[in-house]
Amino acid sequence: MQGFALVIHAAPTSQASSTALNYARELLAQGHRINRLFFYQDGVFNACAYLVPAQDEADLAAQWQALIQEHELDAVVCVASALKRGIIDQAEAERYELPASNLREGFVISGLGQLIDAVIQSERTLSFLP
Amino acid sequence: MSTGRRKNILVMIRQAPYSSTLPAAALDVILTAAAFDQELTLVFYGQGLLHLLPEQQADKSAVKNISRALPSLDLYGVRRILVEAEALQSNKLQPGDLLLAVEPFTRQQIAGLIAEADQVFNY
Repeated sequence: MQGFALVIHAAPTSQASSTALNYARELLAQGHRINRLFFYQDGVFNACAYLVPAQDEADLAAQWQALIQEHELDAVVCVASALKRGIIDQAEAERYELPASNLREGFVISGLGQLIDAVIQSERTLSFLP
Repeated sequence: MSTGRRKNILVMIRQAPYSSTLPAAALDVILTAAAFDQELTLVFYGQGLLHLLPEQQADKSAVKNISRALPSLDLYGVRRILVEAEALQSNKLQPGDLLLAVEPFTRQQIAGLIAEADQVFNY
């Protein structure tokens, strides 16, 4: 039981998503392990591939993705939260006969059990709420 | 199912009913944690106490009402359900007014539980 789990409740339009991202970067910079990032509730918007922030604003979703891919982090998006907010992967798009999928590469959709599993496996779990 | 040791998980519901989806998220977390056989405590704190009022007519609200699900928590193994004693007092309620048998804990006692818990989910 070691390492960290982070639960991100905040959309990329919220400062809390940026705080979580900076926290994750600093954990990795200091040599800690991140067992899982769990995107819950409005946090699932960080996993949307179709976000187009204004040019003078930070693209937090892209920054999350870069961090996830660079460090091969396990980035789970809560399925119930995602579906009701229109964050859809290919499998769900087919299941619900939707015209497209929009889950950003690097993220996976899974259940809330992944959150509790991360809590059990990790020394600390931190939640970032808007 | 994970093989890690059991954790002492405390879930606090602080938001009033119909205010946001956070209380429903709290309920989902506690039910999932129960399925993982964790040691669970649920605390209704501040305005969160109002979830425990009986006879709520939620039909006209778009936000899901969690009160109906609360009596089944016991079946899921969530045995330790507490309410903030000061919140009871300031709302002029008695434990007998609530739809569940809950134990009043003072803020100081709740602070002790937070200190003891392995993990706190604050909703």
